[in-house]
Amino acid sequence: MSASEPLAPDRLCWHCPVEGLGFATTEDLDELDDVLGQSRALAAVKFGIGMRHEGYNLFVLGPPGVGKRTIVRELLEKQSRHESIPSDWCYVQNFDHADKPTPLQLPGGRGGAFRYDMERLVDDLKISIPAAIEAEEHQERVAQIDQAAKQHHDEAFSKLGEKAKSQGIQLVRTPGGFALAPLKGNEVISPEEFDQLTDDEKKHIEATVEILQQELKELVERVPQWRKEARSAIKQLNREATTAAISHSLRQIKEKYADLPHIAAYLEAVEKDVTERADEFRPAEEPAVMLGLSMPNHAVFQRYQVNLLVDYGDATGAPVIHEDHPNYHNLLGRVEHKTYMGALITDFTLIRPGALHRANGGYLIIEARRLLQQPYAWEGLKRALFAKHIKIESLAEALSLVSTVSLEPGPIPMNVKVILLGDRMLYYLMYAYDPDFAELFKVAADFDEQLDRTPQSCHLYARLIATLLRRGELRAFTAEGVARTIEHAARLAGDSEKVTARVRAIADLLREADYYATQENSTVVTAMHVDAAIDNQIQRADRLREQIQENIQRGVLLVDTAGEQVGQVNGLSVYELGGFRFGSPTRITATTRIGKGEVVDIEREVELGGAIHSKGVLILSSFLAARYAKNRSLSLAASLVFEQSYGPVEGDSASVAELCALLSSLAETPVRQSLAVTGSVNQHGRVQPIGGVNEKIEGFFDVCRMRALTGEQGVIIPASNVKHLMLRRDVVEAARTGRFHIYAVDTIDEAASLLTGVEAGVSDGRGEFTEGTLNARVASRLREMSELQQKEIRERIAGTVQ
Amino acid sequence: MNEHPSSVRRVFAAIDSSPFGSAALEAAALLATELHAELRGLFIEDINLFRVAGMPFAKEVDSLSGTLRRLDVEELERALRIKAEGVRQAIADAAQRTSLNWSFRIFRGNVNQMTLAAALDADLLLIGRERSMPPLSPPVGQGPIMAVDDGTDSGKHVFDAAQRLARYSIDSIVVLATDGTEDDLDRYQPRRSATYVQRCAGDELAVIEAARRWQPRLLLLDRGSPLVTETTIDSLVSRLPCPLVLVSGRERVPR
Repeated sequence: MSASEPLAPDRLCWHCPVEGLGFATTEDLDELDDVLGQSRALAAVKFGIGMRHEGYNLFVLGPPGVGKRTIVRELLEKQSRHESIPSDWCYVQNFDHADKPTPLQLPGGRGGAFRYDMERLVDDLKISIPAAIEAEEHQERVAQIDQAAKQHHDEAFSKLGEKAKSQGIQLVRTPGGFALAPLKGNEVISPEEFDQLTDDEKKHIEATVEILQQELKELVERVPQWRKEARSAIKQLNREATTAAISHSLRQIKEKYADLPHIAAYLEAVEKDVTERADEFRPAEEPAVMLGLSMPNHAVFQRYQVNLLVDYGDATGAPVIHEDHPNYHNLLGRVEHKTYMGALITDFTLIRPGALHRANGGYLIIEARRLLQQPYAWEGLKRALFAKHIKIESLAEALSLVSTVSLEPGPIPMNVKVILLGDRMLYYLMYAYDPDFAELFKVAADFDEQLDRTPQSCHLYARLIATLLRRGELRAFTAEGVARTIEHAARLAGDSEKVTARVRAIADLLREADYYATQENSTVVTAMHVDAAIDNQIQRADRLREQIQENIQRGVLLVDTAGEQVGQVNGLSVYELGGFRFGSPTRITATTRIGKGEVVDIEREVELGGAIHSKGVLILSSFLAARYAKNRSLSLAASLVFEQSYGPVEGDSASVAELCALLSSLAETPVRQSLAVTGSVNQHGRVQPIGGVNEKIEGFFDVCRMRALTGEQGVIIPASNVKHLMLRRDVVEAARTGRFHIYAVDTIDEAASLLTGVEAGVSDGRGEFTEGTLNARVASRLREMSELQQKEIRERIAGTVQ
Repeated sequence: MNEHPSSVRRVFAAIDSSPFGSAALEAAALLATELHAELRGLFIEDINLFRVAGMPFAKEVDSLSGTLRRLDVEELERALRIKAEGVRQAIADAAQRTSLNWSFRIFRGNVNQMTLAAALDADLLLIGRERSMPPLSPPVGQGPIMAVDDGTDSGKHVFDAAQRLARYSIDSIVVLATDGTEDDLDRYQPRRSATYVQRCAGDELAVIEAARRWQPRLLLLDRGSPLVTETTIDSLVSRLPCPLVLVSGRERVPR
């Protein structure tokens, strides 16, 4: 095929053969059980799941919408069903250190029963302990101890009182204690009467009082001890009664958990604590009141509660948890507080699990971007993975923002396979900048955004469509509808030999096509409905495209689609905004003059040109020098500009257009404005592929159509882009009827020849070109420039010498 | 309760700021309200205290710590003034709650003599004083109302007064029927509260012993009972586990 011949219409778009699909509607198709394509990623995921060694967590990377999360989740759920149910975990009171709650591990599914058993035990204790303590027999024994103590106490004081009285001294109660005073008869003598006593009598009384005072002092000092002894005796009695009362209930629960030594140890501690706190089980006659608020006495019962953090009572395998809000506390758990009388209080029952607790023994799926957006969440996750245990710490305390006393729950051993989902850029950034990342996430599962299009894959794609339809409870698609959808999948892939793996976009299209079928009361979704959905997707997003096209039509943006101009070429740009891509022509102009071999990129000079664009322009200088000035200096100064472009320009896809504009300017040969050109060029003049070829062609086509197609118009593209062509039906139709043409070129000569209508010309090996050809004109002009420059230099040197 | 006029016009409360005093005041305010009587508070400053404090060797043994410290009159007067003010305030609060007519007086003298003298003027006298020895356990009993019946009409009035108190606070009554009284349970009719009758010797030690066993809230005794003498009153007040209520034989409590 000659480059001057347009491409045949059948090469402009691949059409899915309906007859090859082999079904009438998607009702005839089985669901797709396996994942379509993605063999590399699936193998990596399976490997990551299977590897039980440290650090073999997964990072599943790939563009959004390829179904990473769904695929990984389904794989994990399938795998987890065959894995053993992990342990239940709970927190209980630490009777020795109340601020350090104790984690307890139970076989999966037994945590709920343990919590229930402990609740029943407390219910039993609430009845049996008060009953034992309030029992008449027990109370009588308490009363006996009490009375014996009182009697002992009263007798001691009575004896002292009587002893004092026998010595003529009275024991008197004062506001703050006791005093001893001499008696006369039954009356304490007055100070005046005391004064009248003889010195001996006074001395005797004072001595007697002093001795008695000492005895009284010793007696008073012994009172607290008696009180303590009485209390201890009663407490011991209560303890004995409690032990007897709880032994039956505790024996049952101990027997039930005898196979779990740490539970048995905990139950021993419970028994000891209950016995010590027997008094607190008695219902208070009046609730304690503080600041006018009654304070219920729940604390004693709460001590024996079980805070079941993770309960696998209904589990059938290992857990697969997806944490969609992976902040620090949601991952690692938290200790909540409640307000009580203006203060924040907490206890072990307010410990809440994090996603790591719930996923312990299984899998945890997290969106990497969301994880990184949450302060300290990534650090917390890494710490847990390195330490292999989950330690609940308040973030505020860890950062020393508050210094209140809180709980320090004991750490729980952790065995979680973490699966991070994210795009490729995130993976590479994390890999590059966080040295821990590579150590913790050794497996990367990279999802492709495209799949190879083969007859087999088309059939599988049809089954994927059928599966999505059934899961979404949508109408069945006809074979034509499916074919149209697959064609659109190829268009989304931007390649006629591929189909997109972005299932989300396909699922959206299916739902929208179903909507249009519903509007028409159609029982099936046809190709027409799919087209309507595609057209409407574009229509909803193409405000900017329409505006640009309108500006071209109104002559605000200057783009010629007819006639010829020297140094002026229609380039093609692609815009991508909000997920919608479209192309539009841009006028590229070049001017040339004598200079020092520089091609000035005006976009770069004003800092609107990106690095790749600048690279493309620099290649042009190299091309010109290599082709036309091998043996002499390139005495050229050229300027290139994207006319009416006021934003950044990036990419080298305009370099063919720029070179053609330069050649036209140098050769002073006009360029056909009915053609637009796209493609990059290397320094040997080979045309290289570019992206967005479909959008670019359609962009120029739309402008031409607005002004009426003349049959002269068309687009020149790199030959290596032909396989990417998935053009709109109207473009293909225009090509079929000869109203629009697509030309594929391999070299700059082919492109320049098409644009100028002048033969490019071939070098004779010595840098000379056939007379009259485009290259000869360029070479001639450059030689002329060089000679003029040489002459000017010689004249200048001669002038300096004179 | 209020349908019958009562002959009780004055309810006296000879109290101090101890828990016994508070319990006696509470019962006194209750009775005064029920009987539409006037509440009179008495605070008796023990003359013996001033005598002791005036002695050159006077020392006080602290009731909590056992430490010895100098006891002087000025300090004593200041301490008693504070206690008296506390009692006055407590009576004022109780009277305000129940809209009672009330008065308060401070006396100084022999506590037992003055208590008995006050009993002569009172239709009901409730005595609540600090024990003469450090308390070993919570001092005021929380049990039933206890009434001592010596078999006389006055003894019957004591039961009636006990029944008033018991009805108000939903307490049961324990009647200590002293030896020599007849076994006549009809005597305790009509009964509005659970009533237990216990035989008891007629001396104060037996009464104290019974009270220690029952741990009553109040113990009611006829003012004219042989148990109420200058000697025994001190023993009763200082050793009973509850306030003592002296009921005037003249009281005619409507049933």
